Amino acid sequence: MGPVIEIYSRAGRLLSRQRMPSDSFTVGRGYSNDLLLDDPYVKSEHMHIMANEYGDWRIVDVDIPYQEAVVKSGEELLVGKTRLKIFDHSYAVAPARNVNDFESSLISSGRLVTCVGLMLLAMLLQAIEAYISSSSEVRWTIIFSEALIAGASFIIVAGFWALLSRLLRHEERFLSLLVLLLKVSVFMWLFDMLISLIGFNLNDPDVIFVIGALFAGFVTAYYIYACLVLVTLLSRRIQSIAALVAGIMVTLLISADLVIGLDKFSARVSYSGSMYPAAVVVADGVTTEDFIDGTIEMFFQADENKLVSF
Amino acid sequence: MVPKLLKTTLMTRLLINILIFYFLLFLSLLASAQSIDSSLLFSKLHDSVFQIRIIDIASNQKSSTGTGFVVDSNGSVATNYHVVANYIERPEKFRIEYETDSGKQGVLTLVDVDVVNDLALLAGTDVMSQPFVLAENMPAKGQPIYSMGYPLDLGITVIPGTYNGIPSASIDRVHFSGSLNSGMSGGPSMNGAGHVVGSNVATAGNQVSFLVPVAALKNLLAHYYANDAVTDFDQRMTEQLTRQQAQLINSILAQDWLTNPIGEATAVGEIPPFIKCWGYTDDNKKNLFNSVSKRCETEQDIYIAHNFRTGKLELEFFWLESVELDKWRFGQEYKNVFSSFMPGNRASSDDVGNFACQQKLISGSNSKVDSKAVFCTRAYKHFNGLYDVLFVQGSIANSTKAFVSHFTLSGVGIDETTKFMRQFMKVAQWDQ
Repeated sequence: MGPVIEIYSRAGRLLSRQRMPSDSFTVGRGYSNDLLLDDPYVKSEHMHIMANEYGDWRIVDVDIPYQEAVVKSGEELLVGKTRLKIFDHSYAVAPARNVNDFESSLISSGRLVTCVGLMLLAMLLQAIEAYISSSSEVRWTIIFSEALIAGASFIIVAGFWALLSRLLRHEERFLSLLVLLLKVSVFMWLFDMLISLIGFNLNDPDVIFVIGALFAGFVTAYYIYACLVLVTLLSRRIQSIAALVAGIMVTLLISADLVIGLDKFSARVSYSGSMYPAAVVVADGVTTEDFIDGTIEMFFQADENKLVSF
Repeated sequence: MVPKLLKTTLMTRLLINILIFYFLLFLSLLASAQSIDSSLLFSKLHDSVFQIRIIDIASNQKSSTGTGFVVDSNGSVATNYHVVANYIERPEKFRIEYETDSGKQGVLTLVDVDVVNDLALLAGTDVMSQPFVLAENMPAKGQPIYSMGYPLDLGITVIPGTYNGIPSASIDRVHFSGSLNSGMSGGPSMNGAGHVVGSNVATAGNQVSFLVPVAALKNLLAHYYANDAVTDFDQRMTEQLTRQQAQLINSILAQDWLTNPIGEATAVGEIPPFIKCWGYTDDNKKNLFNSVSKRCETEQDIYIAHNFRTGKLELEFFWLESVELDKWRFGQEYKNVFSSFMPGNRASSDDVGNFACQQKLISGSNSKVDSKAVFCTRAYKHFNGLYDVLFVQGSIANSTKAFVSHFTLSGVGIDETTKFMRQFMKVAQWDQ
């Protein structure tokens, strides 16, 4: 059993970790080598590395045999633009930089039991929503079919991601993707319910509206990032940038009229009509006279609104 | 010898026959007198009634037409505001022309408007035609009157009808039982003597038409003679609209408002003669809740532009009561009703700004939160100090009963709104 080699990018990010078959091995871009480096600055047969009697590593350049160097176990070595670290098997692996933590936890969560459980929960929530919003006699077949449609749509969305994963990674990861989607959806649904209960009973619902928009942006960013990690082979940086952009866009879209005034003119008035019983708990009311006094400010605001150019 | 009784009968018959003959003769004379009258009117006055054409300058074609008539010896022409509204909105895009029945044409300039009464005054004719005389007194109800105009671009037409008085409402209009058609807008309606009693303005179809009473035209002419041509039409219209809304709201507030129960709550009743109400009970057996609603509104509004109307007041009340709905579903239904309100008048982004809204929970006398109220307003871009206002207030008790009250006012000032809102909130109540 040979040493373990860690390969780092130019920026210092750990790309992979490989075990060599013996203490003497060759390094290069060519396929004849023991360690392949995908780096245009590395020659096809670049160098030969072998252990010396002190347990250090002797590096011999293939083209210039007398040019030698010795590195200790764990020291960094620059080959072309790639950085390598060589560790013998007695080396205490201290820097536990495991790049695949998030990915592996995502993969391992894709168990069938979790999946079925979450699916039933999501369908139940959908059924509750369908039930609450119907004001005539309950028709269970309709509520049941709405729940089924919701379930099917989860499967379709996860299926598309899995198809992409199949194309890019040659493995589907369908269950993991489905569990991820279900988790995010259930989480959003519960949060939405909470925010409706509290927020719309406040005197200034704009505050809670901004919080809701930020939350939706955050959840979107998380979902996109997790999907990209599972599905694509892009670098972590690109994955996180893409997720961040998606999250910010969702936040802005939701809070468009509040933050940047996208809907410059709307014939519709926007106000929230909900008042749940919790109103009594979360907010104080004003007197009728205070309400009427407050409307004067709205006339001034309306005067400012008419100056907005289109 | 003819018996006395028979003789008397014969005499009576003869007498009756003669009477009937003379009566018929009289009637036919009367009828011919009338027909002579209206054709005389036509021949005497047809050259003083013009077709008013709004010409699109770029294509040099008419984009709409109406009717106008000469009202003084300077050649001033009266028509409807709505005939020239496009020109007022985009004076660089249109020009106003006239054509007489005998084919003479020319350009007119707009000198004054009365947007509330839908009147406009034009000057610049070089046709020397006889001006119409404006009637001193309105005819009695049921008297024949004659309306002139150019319906549907078909040439000048005279239409007989009946004067049916001025029903009391927020804006005075003569009820004319005759058929007005588009294109006749702005034309004169005359009594038998050929004196103008009103200007054609609108039709509700089936012989129900409306005229602007001549008094409004007299006021407009007086203003024009005293102040000369208007230069800032926005300013002039702002004054007129502001005066009209203050008058309307103040007359409404001067009354004791009638109230009607709706469910357990109290709604505002009719406010004669301005606001009329209609009711509706939803008794769909499939619904697990009952809803009673009531809607009150003014019947008239004021035309400002193609997609901008103002001057309308609407009041609405909803009583919801659960029959078998649990509280979550009833709450959802209440939310649907509460969120459904829209401004009552049409307006575009050229005319009004965005809404500014305030929403607050309201505590009753016992300092317990008992309702939620929303107030939204948008400002008129061309008429400073005028706004559209939307108000909604709703309360829900034990998640089984709910009351929602709403009003929208269009084209109102701040003071009038505040006073109206205070009165409305006082009257439309539900003491749980």
